[in-house]
Amino acid sequence: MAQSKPIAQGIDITERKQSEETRRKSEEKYRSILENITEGYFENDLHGNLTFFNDSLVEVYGYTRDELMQMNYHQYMDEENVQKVSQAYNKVYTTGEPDGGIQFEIIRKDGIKRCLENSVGLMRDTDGQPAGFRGISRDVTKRKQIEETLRLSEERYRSILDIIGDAYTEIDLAGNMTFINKESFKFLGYSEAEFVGMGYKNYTTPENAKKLFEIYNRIYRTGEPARLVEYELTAKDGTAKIAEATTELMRDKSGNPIGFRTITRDITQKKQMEEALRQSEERYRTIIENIQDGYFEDDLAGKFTFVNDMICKHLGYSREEMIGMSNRLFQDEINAQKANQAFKEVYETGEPIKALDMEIIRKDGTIRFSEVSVSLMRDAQGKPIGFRGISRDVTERRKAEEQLKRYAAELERSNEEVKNFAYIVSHDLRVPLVNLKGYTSELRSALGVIGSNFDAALPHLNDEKRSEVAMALHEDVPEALEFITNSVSRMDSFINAILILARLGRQDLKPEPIDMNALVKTTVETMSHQLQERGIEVIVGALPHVAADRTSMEQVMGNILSNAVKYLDSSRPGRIEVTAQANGAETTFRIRDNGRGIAAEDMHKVFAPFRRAGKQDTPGEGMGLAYVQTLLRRHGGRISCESELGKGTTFIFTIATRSEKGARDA
Amino acid sequence: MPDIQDVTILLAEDDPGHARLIEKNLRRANIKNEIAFATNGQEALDYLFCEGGYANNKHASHVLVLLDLNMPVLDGYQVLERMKKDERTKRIPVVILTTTDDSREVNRCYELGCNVYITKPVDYEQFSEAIRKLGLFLMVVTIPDGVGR
Repeated sequence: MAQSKPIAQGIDITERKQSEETRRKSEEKYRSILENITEGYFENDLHGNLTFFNDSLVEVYGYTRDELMQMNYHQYMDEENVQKVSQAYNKVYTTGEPDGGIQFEIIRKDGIKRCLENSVGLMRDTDGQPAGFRGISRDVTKRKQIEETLRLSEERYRSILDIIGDAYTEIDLAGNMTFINKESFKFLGYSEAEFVGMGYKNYTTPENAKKLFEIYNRIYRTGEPARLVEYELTAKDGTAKIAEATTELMRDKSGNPIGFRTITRDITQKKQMEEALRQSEERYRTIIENIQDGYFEDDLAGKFTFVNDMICKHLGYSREEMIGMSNRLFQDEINAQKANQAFKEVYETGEPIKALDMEIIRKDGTIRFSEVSVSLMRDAQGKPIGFRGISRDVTERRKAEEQLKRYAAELERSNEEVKNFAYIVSHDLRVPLVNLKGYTSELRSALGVIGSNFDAALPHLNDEKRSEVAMALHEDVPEALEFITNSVSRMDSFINAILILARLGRQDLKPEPIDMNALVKTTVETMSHQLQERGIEVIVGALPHVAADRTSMEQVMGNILSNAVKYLDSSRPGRIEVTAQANGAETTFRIRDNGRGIAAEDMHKVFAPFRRAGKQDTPGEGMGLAYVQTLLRRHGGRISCESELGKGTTFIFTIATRSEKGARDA
Repeated sequence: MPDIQDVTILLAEDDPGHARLIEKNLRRANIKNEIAFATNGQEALDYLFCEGGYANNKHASHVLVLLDLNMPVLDGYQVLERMKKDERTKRIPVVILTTTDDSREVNRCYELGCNVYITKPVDYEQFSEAIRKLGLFLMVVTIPDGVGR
């Protein structure tokens, strides 16, 4: 309180006396005013001691008038308030300007704090020198309390608005933002400074702006809030955001509209998820409606709750007929039991069942075959609520399979018949052969008996008869017998060949690991005399081990090699090459010669029984390669032949490299 | 013990040519025994059991059977099987004489209880030789007592 300044001294009182009466009256007027106002009036000296005050002030301070007089402000306030008050008074003293709002707290005599607001001005003496301060003191304690309550309340609402996670905005009737919470600018990617005062047209498309305008217009007109309206907003970075907003009209005290308040929720992600879900749902629905398989869902009682078109088609019922239908209606007892058992198993184990064979009775009574896969359907809590599955109509496939099976059985049967036929024929043909041979032989010896006795009969015949009988006895009959004997021999060898072929197809194979190098070497050695004599070169490459029947392999190699030797071209030195190549489970052998070759038109005879191709200057019955082919087939192998007339022939055959099932029955 | 001369040879053979060749060759081997002919399996059994066409016959005192396999009505296997199952005939010696030389069939016949298995050679010289040897063999065979009764 301008303590540095001395208090003014030397006051002239002569002139004051002259106008004493005037002043007395004026003073009385002011005193009466002062005593009647509710605000406190005070005067301080420059040290801050109260020099004058009204009753209202006495009441506020809680001291008696006497106690209060000359009381210094230090005495009724704490240090903090002393600082505040002294600074404000100093400023008034220094500038000479009054201060209309110094707020501070006093401590009353009874210890209660009051909040005061003083309007203070400088008091000057007649010389214009500062003499003290005067002012009005208002008790604002109550107002302060209300203000604090309001501030707390406002803060509460603001903090609620900040933590709700939804945008809260208030706009005036012109559409300008008047209040926003943090979420408002955050979700569109603006800073608060950018966002405040921004019109809604800045963050939405014209189309949406129009929609918004209409909504706000309606709210304004009807006074009814618009709840959960969806619209699109554009974020700062240009991405579209989907908002869900509830807007209501804001009114002033008198009920006049002053703007709108809106709570906006960002449902972009929710929408995206919904869309993804919708697409996914659509995808599955499209798949289910377009697959060629039937799709169904059952409740736990086995009644259809959902079916696709295809299953309706399969069963011949309409969708409406199908829903709620139990399997007993389209399955006979055996199949229904089978289905129930399977569903029970799925329910108990939780494991799906795949490709269960079922018979289905269509609405029209025809029977279809179906392959059903079933799995358990659970709710969100994992509780079983039913079954879903796929039902494939396999009727056509089943028919085809059955037909194939029939064909295979027929083929096997006819194959067996052919084998048996060959066997039986070769045996039964022997019976008449025995007779033919036996009785030609008997005939020959009978003829011998006749012949030896014939000479005795000769003298009884004339010359003509004699030579006739001699002709018959010594030429015609022996010649006829010769032809019969030769033909019978040929027939015998044919029958034997067929018999061998039939036996090769029946005999038991004993697969064992075979070193083909050793086997070929042995085979070549048995022919060594012939090879040396004719200067034939045999080259054997590195041959692998195979799993096969040893005797069969000896026959195969023996036949092919002796054929190669047999049909060499005498005009050039013979050369036979044996090579092999293992490729996976199979080994391919090649036996190449530089012999006379086979003409293209004879190729089909190569593996046929009793057929011999080309020039026949070597003995043989034409069965060798037929045997070879039968043996290789029984080993699951095959043989082919490449040849060029005049150049040579290559026989190529394959056999399992090594396998327990290296041989199997043909 | 019966004299081998008293033994009747039952030749079961459907092919008359074969039967005749066998008979001829047996005779040439100096077999003088009585030979009975059956042209199928049923006839052979009827002869052995004195049934059917042989119902009025007396049982031959001792029999030895030369049996072909492939015969009509009843084949050789069936005849062999029935003979070996029947108390009256199971001890009668049976010689299988057939064209088949398949090892499986040979085994089957021995399993069914045949005594000798001979394959008829197609070649006549060998055929004659085989029958001649059979004849020699038959001459030294001892037939069990009381068979055929």
